[in-house]
Amino acid sequence: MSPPRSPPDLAGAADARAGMMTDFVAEIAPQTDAIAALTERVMAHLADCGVDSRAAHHVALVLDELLTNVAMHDGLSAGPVAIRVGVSAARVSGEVVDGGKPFDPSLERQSIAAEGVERPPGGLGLLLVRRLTEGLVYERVGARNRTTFSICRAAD
Amino acid sequence: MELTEEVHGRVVVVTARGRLDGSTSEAFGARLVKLASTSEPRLIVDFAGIDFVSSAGLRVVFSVLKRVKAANGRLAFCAVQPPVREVLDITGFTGMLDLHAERAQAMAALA
Repeated sequence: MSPPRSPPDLAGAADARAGMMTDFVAEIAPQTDAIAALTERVMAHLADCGVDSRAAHHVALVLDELLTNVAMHDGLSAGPVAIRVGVSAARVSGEVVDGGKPFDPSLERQSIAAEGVERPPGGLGLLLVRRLTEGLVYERVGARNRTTFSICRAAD
Repeated sequence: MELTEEVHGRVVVVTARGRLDGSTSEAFGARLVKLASTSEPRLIVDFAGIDFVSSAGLRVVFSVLKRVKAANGRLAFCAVQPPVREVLDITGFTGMLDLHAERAQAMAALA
């Protein structure tokens, strides 16, 4: 029998070691209204922290897409989703932990940018996530998905 | 999201305010599809008050565009704000949509 694995690092220990301040933690049901409210709170928080508005928008959009993906594919069966956002001098880091089916958003799928009305766009959300983030990392920890990402505070 | 409509001759201008995301896209789409259900509809969507568009919103925009095209109509967007424009650029929607910097330009194009 394999030894039990540690739960996802939600206490911020890894970030503390990396010198990142953990300053926004939330847990929400994967539902559209809750996702919208969460991203509004994150944007307000990042504005208070002095994060560039474009970078804050990118963080909110990435969180929206990751959380909406959980809502679409697993719904409430994914259980409460934990969100953590940390701000350091150079970047904003985010973490999403959910109990849905294994899903790696960093993998290339059929991300099809829209090219015309005859061609339906597919994978737009994941396309945005990959284009707007650096260090997009997925891992399956026990029965939960853990996705982390970072975005430069001074968006290019 | 708030939606208001103005009729200018054959052109209907829809002013949207707020977010176009998973929580609002269904209502936005339903309103636009209803307006697009006429023959040769001419619709302008003023995005000056829209500061957040997610992929859920884009899918609805795509659906409305298909409906308008099928009815031999025209759909234009104006005053798209920089954060939203960036999303359109990344996803390829910029080349697909009829975009105008200002409402007056969109009105002139569709009149």
